[in-house]
Amino acid sequence: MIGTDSHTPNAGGLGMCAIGVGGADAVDVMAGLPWELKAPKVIGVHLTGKLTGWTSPKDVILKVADILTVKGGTGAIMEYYGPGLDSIAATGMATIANMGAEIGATCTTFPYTSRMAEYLKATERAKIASAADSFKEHLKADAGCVYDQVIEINLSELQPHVNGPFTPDLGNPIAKLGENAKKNNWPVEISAGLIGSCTNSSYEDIARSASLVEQAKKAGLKFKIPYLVTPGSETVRATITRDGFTKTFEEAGATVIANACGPCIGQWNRHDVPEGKANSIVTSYNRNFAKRNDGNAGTHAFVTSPELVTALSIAGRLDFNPLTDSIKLPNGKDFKFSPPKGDELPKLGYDKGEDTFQAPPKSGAGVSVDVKKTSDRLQLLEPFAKWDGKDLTGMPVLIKAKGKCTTDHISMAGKWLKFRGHLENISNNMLIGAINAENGETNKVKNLVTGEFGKVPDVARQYKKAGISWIVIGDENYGEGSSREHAALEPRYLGGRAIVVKSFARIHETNLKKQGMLPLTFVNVSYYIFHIIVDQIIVLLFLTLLLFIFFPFLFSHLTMTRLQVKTRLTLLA
Amino acid sequence: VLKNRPLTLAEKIIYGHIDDASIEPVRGKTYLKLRPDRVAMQDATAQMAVLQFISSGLPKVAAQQRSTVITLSQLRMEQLLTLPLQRRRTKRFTTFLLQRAQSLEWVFGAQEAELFTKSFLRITPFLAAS
Repeated sequence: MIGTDSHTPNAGGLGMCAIGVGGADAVDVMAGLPWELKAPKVIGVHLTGKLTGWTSPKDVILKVADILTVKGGTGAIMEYYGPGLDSIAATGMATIANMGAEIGATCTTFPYTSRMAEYLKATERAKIASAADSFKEHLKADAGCVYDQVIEINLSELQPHVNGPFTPDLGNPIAKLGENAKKNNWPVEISAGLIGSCTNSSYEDIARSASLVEQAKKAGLKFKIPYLVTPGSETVRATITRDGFTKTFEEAGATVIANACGPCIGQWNRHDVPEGKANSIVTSYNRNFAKRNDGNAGTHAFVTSPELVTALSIAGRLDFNPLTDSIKLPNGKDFKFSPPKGDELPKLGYDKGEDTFQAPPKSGAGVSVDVKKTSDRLQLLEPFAKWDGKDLTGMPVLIKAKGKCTTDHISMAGKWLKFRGHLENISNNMLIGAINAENGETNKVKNLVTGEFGKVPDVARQYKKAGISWIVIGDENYGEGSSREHAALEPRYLGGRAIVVKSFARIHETNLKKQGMLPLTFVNVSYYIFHIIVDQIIVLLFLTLLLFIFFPFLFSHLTMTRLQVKTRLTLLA
Repeated sequence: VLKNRPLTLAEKIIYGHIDDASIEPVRGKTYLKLRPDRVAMQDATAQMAVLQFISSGLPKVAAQQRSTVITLSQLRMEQLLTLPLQRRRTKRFTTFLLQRAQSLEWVFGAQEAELFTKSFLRITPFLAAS
């Protein structure tokens, strides 16, 4: 399956290859075109031992991220195997598969296990379980197959991990977290704990977290800090409410919010911490880039299991290790947690909650699509102008982006989400998060025709109005992050023709091509620095019949020095 | 073309969806043309994808199975606390996606109040079979 969401691989928990793509790729497949992918490498993760006590499926992927780093899975499918799988629920495997996105993996898959069968039966799909059982010998790797790389993890020895801050691959075993926090000057006091999200909101996750809250409540303890619970589905919301977990959380001071993406995608609207103030939060989410959850650059976000988020939110400190440490009670006694416990699947079955499914009609012919001309959220697309066959010359550099330039920098989320269906309006966020290498500022670039400074989208519109095409220069892994194609549509819409970078993230490079932008990479990455001394680049396009097309770039400067820079365009993917 | 070599599970799944079975896949090298079984979308990304599909002028989607899930990824905190009300407020774009999906006869909607990727696990896989 392909899905227009970078966490599509979540479905790997049921042994699928589910891959995140841009919308244009989805459109291609819907239009009947095949979908192109470089044959992925396969990284094997051999699991031995057994998950017990505090250690959870989340710790498996946090450990793998620590080993492989955020780039380590690029171009590869993660394939887990071995006897350790027997101690991981289907929803736990989904947690592991979900966060494969954080190491750049194409997707993650698991061989068919009895735990998948149990999950299928519990979700009214017993027929599929028996179909899978009938040929389960094929739903796993062949004996003697070869992996491109093998990682060994003994689950019995695996320590609970808390990864971060600011990147999901900085692993801190819980026993080291306090020490690392002090050493690195991370705020030891925690300001909020958040559980749930698509990564970690299974019945088991919630049940195990609630068991810790129950223990604390018996000792007279409550959450020390704001604690937010996001159920992952209407089913989980209804089931945990029926089974009393929602009440348990709320009585201890938690807030159970709607089963929506919520703070995990930045929809928090947080007011309790002033902008820029250093503070630490712990979440059971998947991403922890700066500003991801609350928009505050001072927030140090750590990702961990929901169980650890819960224990740490009751203690309120990063230097509390629930496996060994105690909390002093008002009566002078010490309270120590027992390891979390919880059913993998609800004993009473799932409560499906409110049924909002809307089945498609037998025939779609009678359904009309209503897009109002006055809508500020939806706008039908106009085709982009065709190439006139002429070389592209004299194009100014709109912005030379310095350092990390993710899809969030190119097309921000948050308040802009509502314009995702309106290209003209959402284009007002184009590259407003990117740092201009010329002046170190965001959203302030020079119009090379008028000499005046303006906001990036404004200057782009000025060029467009004057009939001038422009280019963007970028750094490494340009366009990493989400699959959103707005990051490619917006520059095309505002008159951009080429994005020239040291390297691209896979989905973004494809998205640019689909929208008719030239994604070019410097043949020699040191060319990136030359632009510091030039105001204008003249691009000459020479088409060749070779597999790779090389683009000689002529740099012109006031002194009339010229520099030829070669760039590369991949024709595939 | 695989010369009976033992395969990883990932290879079995991916190679099982190759469009042209005469090409020998070499990991990390060959570009494969694949035929995915399903296409899935959520509200934040589906809008632009559906608008692009409208531009193609095609009356129906070609993929064998397709599903779109409306999720509520766009709700902000105060809205998260009052979900039923938000269902009505977000009706504008859900109506657009719903109409388009219905005109294309997509398996649509699944759970309105569902985290997109969670719904894959719960609903999307093997939907037709179930």
